[in-house]
Amino acid sequence: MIPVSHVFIIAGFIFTIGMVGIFIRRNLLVVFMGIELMFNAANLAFVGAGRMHPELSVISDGFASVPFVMAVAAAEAAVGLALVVAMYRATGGTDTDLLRSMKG
Amino acid sequence: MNILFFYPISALVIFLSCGVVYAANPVHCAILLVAVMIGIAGLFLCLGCELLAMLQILVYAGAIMVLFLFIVMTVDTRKEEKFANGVKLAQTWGVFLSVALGLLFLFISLQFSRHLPDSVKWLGDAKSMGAAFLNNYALPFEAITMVLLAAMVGVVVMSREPMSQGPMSQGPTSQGPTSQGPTSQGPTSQGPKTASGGNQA
Repeated sequence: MIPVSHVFIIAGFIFTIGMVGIFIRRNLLVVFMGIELMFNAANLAFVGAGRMHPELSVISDGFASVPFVMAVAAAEAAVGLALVVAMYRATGGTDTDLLRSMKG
Repeated sequence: MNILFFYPISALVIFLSCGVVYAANPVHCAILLVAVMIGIAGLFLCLGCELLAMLQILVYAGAIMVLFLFIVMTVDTRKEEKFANGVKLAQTWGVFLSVALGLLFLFISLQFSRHLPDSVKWLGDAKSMGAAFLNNYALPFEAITMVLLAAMVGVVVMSREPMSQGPMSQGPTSQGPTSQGPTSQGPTSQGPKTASGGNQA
């Protein structure tokens, strides 16, 4: 008997850690890893919410949302890593402080 | 049985995700993130979704993280010194806002008092998931294929443009097709005999 609130709390912890990582890290690859952590937290919350109503006989929206989140995460990782490669070609590094070309 | 594994695995996942954020070397971050993905797959197993656990391992730990490690080892990443350029105001406010959002999540989560039952009939197995994707979720399933196709085309376009202009020192200001355009279309406008001239240039 796991309370569903505990699942949500764990998902919230992972989401917050990923968001803190986005803000404090300067390496663009690690920023994308923080985004992946946030996607995983959302998946965990979806699964917890999907298990919340077992009396429904059809599959719940929570379970069915998880593969879509995974597909969007895969597309985001591909596009983001192509951006990392493009940034490395342009600036010679992956530090976000190197991105200054739009600074006035 | 579920509860025996759920809390240790979740504590491990939270600890490892702190390590993802904290580790200085991006390779260490990626390997810790693989461990986080596998731990979340274990949490899915504890919650009774074995298909989603398998998908998590296949897609995240198998595909996405291999892509991450590939890029980490392709680009020359060096260890970042923590707070080398000082702590920016945006970082302070970002961390502050994230912690505030986390507390909001905590308070919202505590509103749910329902308990997950220990033994129900499986709703997350492959049979019911497949039936759902072919009946109720057929249209989103087709839409997500279009998302993946668009991402694939976008990645190919984004990663081959600077390659067609030779030395990488020309930088981001020159765009591939526009700078390549006059030189590649010039010979072809003179006639078909110079069609091979475009290949030489």
